[in-house]
Amino acid sequence: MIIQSFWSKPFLKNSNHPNARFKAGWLDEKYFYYSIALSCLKFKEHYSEITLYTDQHGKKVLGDILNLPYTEIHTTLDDLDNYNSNLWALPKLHTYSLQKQPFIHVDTDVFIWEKFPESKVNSPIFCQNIEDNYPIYQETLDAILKIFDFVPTEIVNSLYQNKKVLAFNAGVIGGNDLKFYKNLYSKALEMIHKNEHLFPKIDVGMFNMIFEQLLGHALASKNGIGISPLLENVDPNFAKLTNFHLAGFQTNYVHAIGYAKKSLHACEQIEALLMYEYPEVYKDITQKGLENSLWEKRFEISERRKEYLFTVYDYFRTHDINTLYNTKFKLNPTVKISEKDEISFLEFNSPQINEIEILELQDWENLVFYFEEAISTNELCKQLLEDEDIKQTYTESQLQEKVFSFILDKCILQEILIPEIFNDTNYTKLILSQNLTNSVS
Amino acid sequence: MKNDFLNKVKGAILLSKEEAKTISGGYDHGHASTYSCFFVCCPSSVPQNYGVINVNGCQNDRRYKYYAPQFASNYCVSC
Repeated sequence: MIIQSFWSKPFLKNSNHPNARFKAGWLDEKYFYYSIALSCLKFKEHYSEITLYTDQHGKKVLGDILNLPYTEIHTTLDDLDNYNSNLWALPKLHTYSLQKQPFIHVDTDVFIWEKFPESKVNSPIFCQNIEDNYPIYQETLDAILKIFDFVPTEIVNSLYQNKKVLAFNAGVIGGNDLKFYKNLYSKALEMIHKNEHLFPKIDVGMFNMIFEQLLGHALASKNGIGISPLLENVDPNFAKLTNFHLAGFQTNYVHAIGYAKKSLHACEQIEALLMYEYPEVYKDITQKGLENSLWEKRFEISERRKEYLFTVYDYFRTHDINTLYNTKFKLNPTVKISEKDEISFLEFNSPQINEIEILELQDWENLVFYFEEAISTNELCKQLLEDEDIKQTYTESQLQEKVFSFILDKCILQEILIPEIFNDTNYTKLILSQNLTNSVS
Repeated sequence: MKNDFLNKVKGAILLSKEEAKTISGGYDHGHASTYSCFFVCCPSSVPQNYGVINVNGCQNDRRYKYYAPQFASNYCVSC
């Protein structure tokens, strides 16, 4: 059973703090609504039933106004109204504890293009990934260990036994050990109640990760409960989770985790994917959202940009990987490259804001020079593998994967590299006429 | 000419750095970057023969730091 949760209290509380959840952490309100809609639809496509746990405000907005296609909507989170609005993970734990059958809770910024493997899901605890000594926990954990009146022994046991910080990421979480989740909620509540008076001395936003993800892992370890992660070897920057440029063909799982929600590139892709995959729902939600003043009209995707994105989405989703590796890409003809003090700069028109942006070319980005003439992933890899050092570091397929990801990032998100799938003359004309119109206006 | 570009890319490629990405996640960009002095403990698999490395903002941290490209900061410390 797939479940999601939305607590409106932090969403509505104005705060500039990076670890608060005003606007659910998104760049703009509209992206929260597009994200939860896309997430709900993608999971419904693969699992058919999806239940939302929220409060009265959430039900009114997501159910009554936007009519998101949840199978059921419960207003159980009204019970948390007296809690500090910065405790945004508490409603998640509350929701897990209410479950009466094996479940998968997915955050509303997670999107899938295939079902999760049954072997992973059918375990006592299923999570997104293990967080092995992620630096982000250190500061808040230090503060908590120094000043809190009560720290569950499971946390202390885990730190001493492992000599490092272990946690699980709860972007997706669930499994069949329902007793564990009831116990976790109870322990987290105890930790909150006994230390609430000390909250002004800590980063409460970060404390959420301690009482959900770190305590959860420690409690499972203490009780010898196996944890089954969906993904292995995830770096603390979560780079492999935010591959929007590969979504739907090379990547079947995307999570707009953390500050990816502040990225206009990620936000634009969520809106564009909703528009591309569910055009009627997108139209309906947009109309209702604007009519009901849920968000203001801004960060619009232009018709030209939409045409470009939909053309490349169509192409990438309908061709096999060998064809894609042999597809040639070329530098956008409107891009300018310059050099100053031995540093190269690339000037391009940002497709999101339609303004000139300058990119300092560092490390991998220097690959763009190879695209002054049209070149494919396979051709570029062949050239790179002529270098002995590179050949010893990567296999052909490893390098192909990285180079292809690099190319598509620059193709989809920034339109710096253009695939030779357009009628080149027409595309160039389209780009140039758009740019000219912008500069005149 | 392409050799110059190749040399600039090679460093990143050989250090197994992720390919350049426009979007990255992480819990809190600002928070992590202001806390540059925290390093994870080296697992036993990291060869501890790279010596002390001075890292900006970590002048008071006297622990040995070892090069460990599998971590985001590229360094870990002996604990």
